[in-house]
Amino acid sequence: MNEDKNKRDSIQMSMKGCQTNNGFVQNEDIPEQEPGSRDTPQSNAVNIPAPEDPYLKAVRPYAGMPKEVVFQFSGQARYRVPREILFWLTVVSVFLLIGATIAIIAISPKCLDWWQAGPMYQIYPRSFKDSDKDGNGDLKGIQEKLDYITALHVKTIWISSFYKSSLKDFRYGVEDFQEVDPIFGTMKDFENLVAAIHDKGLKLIIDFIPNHTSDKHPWFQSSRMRSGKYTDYYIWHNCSHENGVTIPPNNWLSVYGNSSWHFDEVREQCYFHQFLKEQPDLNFRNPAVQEEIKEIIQFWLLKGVDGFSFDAVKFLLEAKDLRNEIQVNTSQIPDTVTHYSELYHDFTTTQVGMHDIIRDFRQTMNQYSREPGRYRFMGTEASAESIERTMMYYGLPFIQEADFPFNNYFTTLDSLSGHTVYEVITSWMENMPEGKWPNWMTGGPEATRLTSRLGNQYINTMNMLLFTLPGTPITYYGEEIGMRDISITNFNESYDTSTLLSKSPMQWDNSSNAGFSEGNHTWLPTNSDYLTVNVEVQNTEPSSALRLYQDLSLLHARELVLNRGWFCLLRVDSHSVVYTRELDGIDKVFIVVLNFGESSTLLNLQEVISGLPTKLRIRLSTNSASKGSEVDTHAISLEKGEGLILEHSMTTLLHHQAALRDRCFVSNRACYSSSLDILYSLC
Amino acid sequence: MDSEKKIQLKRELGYFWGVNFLIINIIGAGIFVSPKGVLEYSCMNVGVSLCIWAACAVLSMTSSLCFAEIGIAFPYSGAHYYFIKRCFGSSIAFLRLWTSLFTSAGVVASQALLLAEYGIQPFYPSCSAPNLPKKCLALAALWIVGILNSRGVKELSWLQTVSTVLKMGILGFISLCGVFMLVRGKKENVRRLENAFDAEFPEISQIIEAVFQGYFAFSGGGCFTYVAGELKKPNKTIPRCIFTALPLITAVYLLANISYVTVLTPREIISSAAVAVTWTDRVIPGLAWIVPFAISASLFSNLVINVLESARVLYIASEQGQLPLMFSTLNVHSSPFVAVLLNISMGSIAIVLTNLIQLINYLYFAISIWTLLSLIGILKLRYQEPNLHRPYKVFLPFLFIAMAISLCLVLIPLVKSPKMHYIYVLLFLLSGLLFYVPLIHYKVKLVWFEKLTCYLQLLFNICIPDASDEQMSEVVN
Repeated sequence: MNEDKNKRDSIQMSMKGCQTNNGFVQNEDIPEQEPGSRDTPQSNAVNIPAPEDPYLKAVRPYAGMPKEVVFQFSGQARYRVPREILFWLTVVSVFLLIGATIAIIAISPKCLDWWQAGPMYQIYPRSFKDSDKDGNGDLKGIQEKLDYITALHVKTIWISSFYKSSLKDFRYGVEDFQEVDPIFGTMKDFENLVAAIHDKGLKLIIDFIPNHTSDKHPWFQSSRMRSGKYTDYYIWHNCSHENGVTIPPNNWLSVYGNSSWHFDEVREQCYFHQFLKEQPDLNFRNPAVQEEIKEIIQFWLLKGVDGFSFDAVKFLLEAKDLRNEIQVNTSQIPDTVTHYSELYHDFTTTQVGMHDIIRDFRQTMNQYSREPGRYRFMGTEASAESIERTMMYYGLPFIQEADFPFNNYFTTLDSLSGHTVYEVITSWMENMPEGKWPNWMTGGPEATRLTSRLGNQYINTMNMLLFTLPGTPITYYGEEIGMRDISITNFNESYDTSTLLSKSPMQWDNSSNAGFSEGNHTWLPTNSDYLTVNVEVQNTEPSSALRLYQDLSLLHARELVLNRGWFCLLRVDSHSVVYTRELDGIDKVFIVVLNFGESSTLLNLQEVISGLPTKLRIRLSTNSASKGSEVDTHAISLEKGEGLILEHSMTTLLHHQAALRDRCFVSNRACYSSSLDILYSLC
Repeated sequence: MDSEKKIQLKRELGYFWGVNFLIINIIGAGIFVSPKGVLEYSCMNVGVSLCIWAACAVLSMTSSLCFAEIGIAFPYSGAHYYFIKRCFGSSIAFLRLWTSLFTSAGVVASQALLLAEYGIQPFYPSCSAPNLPKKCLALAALWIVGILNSRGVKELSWLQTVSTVLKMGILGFISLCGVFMLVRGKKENVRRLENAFDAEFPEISQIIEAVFQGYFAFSGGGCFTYVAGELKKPNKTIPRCIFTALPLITAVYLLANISYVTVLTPREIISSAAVAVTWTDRVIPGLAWIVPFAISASLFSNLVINVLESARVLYIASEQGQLPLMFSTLNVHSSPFVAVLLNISMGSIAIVLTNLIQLINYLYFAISIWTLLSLIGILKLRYQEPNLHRPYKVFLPFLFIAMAISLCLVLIPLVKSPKMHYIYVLLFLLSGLLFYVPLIHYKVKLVWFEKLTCYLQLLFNICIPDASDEQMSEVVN
């Protein structure tokens, strides 16, 4: 090595003179330096054994050395060792950095998917916005109002059924699962709507009703002709039919009353219908039917739909042996049993195998979920089920099913108190399988609107509850401005009028038809309160329900604590419910205090949480005047329907306290490190 | 160590290396992620968008050839800097250097972060990945690039080959699948191309916008000016490389775009966050997760080359006396170590303080000005020094086309969104003179700096390069 260098030195030496450098550092500027310190004779002796080169001996290191000079000195330990150390330090830090990256990825908790990250907004499309003056809302109308929805900080839009259907009720009786009903627009409108929704960064889920079709559906028409594979698409059974009187195969009843069997004159058999006779049930024991349904699912997923709400899934299967269901009141004469509630529906709902079918749907949807950020959501509607049965839709630890069954228990409450609200919350949180994600609805097309059901004092509290509970908040259109049911009873439409009351046109402004339609009439009358309860008015009013809704939604979106923090239910009485939201690593704790009682109440928060300061700041209040002010924690007075979100910084979080452990819940446990700005799961 | 090895930037890179270099330079993450710009501005008209891609290829060919003239006439590393100095004088050249000092750090940092993002995002399927691991990985990647770069150009050859094979492999695969599907002729696949021009026809302004979107995808064709000093027989190699690589890239781009539209609808392409991922998910569903990693890996070589290029500029600037001597020193692998170190360090700072990248982004505007100036320089030199030895002369209309495009690139942002920050960019640009006047014009010398230079030379074992044969011959001439 040294000899090599030496040889090269002598070869290159002659060229040295040719080196030009125009820089401001000139070769001849040899900096003054401590003599001897750089030029150790020892190294010379080692490196340059040849005495024939006396020129080198005189050389000192200088700025702009050529290699002959540099190599003479740079081999010395004082340069070589730091050089090696620096090099290896770099190498080690590269490995450390890669290691750190892997470590952070490894300890990162599963991140919240889009359906967990923000609220869902359910739209009944016929009543949201009419764009073509025919008095019926449509898809283009929804597209027009996307800015409004964005301003609510909603993440997911959920559009109820808009399939081609006879005009009776679009939720049921679908004539073509792959077609948009003309009153809502065309498939092109739908595609545009999907594109517009995705452009705004929102997601779209739609209803899907696999249980039955309309009796005008081509499948049914073929089935009653016994043509080919369609013969067994529906549930047919022999029954006797004489003089217009049918003797059904068994005592099963339809949801709307009377026998669920109907005699078909063409096929001369009875078909089974869980709902109306115009809605024959598909035969899900037929694999061909399951395939058809999967194809429909794929059809919509390919259109870009981000998920489904599967409706009425508990009705998918019925007992094969057609056993009679048991009467609730055994002494009742069997012939007089005509109401759905008079039987126990052990053989027509939630049959063995029903969950397998849904899991199969999930598998189909998973094939379209692989692209990052394109997970397809599955929700199931399971109304009027016991909590245990509802929880079955969450799937089993190793078998994925619905992402969540919709939690409509709040929509069934007819009166409020601290206790009833507490019941609903705890029954869901305690029964929910570990690691699953809760959700909360305050309204829906099938439920009476909140204001009509409970009174308009509670609209703000319920919205506050919705956004501060852990999980996905789901809002039915109009609930954000406190719309109420319409009170008119003589409809043109003859069918099940009670469910139409909560489907009145959205109240946009105080022009005619509340801004819903520029047509002469609307399919349902607009609520008479639209002059005061509408989007335009509430947008200008700082104390309106809409403004609070937006504030709450924004808070939910911004605060990690509300998004994925712990939820500790601390106290309940007939009036108030008190709970906190907290997250390890963030010392900000939200204390939520809500009064659901019939009257005002006084609450001593010091008794609930020890070590509170006497004053706490109000982050948000249902009473907009008190936002940002402070309350006395010894005596918080809450009006009827008043709710507060208090902000407090606590060092020891409540879920660490042994006494509260079983009253605290978290879905995806995570801790936050503020110094590193990451979430981690090892805590 | 070979005793005959000279320490200098040697002419040892040939045709194959050059083609690889050009391909890597031009194909970044764009074609995998966002070929949607062209499609969007051509009103989702598939036929028009394909035509625009082809047109962009021709346009970028013109400007590549202009820079080829520079690189061939002045076959030095960092030739475009040298060229500006020659044409417009020392002070303008210094400002050019001053901007590239910052922009190259910004480019390097944002590219490293992009690489890290593609590498990490697959682990966060439904939300955006946190910043910390991104920064860690970006730093690690950048430092590896630094180490590789200080091992000399030759060492990088295998990496370049691998990377080119990877890039062309993915794109080739996408293209072939598209061709296969077209040949098989399933109705849903062929339909969109049969009726390619049926959709709405875009307006002129949209077409212009689409052309610029496509033009960016081809940018980087002038990169030979960075390494002209290291190419064997540059006057032959450069044109040959350009005429090989650009048609190849054009073909692959067109085929890949055709393949995208055979599988996806224009709307799906536009709404997709990463088209290649969506495409793979449709064609071979099991492999979609690989695509982001492949993009990440292919970006690595872009990073390597970017560091290489910006080090060359610092190197020649130092040789020309506009930067301290130590930037033109080479280590035993003939790599301008200090220049690489400076670039990596500035890049690292920009990665750590991510906000800096946003500031630097404003400076990209200045790059278009320099491109325009270089092109003007070609014209100027043709008239001033008609007898200069030019083995390759670009066809004059090409020069005018290239000038028109870069003029548009300067003017369009100014006209479209006249913002204050263009004035700040200008002020920043001129602030370079604060350094130029004392240090270069008046040649103020700092004693401590020379001590530092001396010490660093010994510490890093770097020396000023040996005189090359070329320089020797120049002296003789």
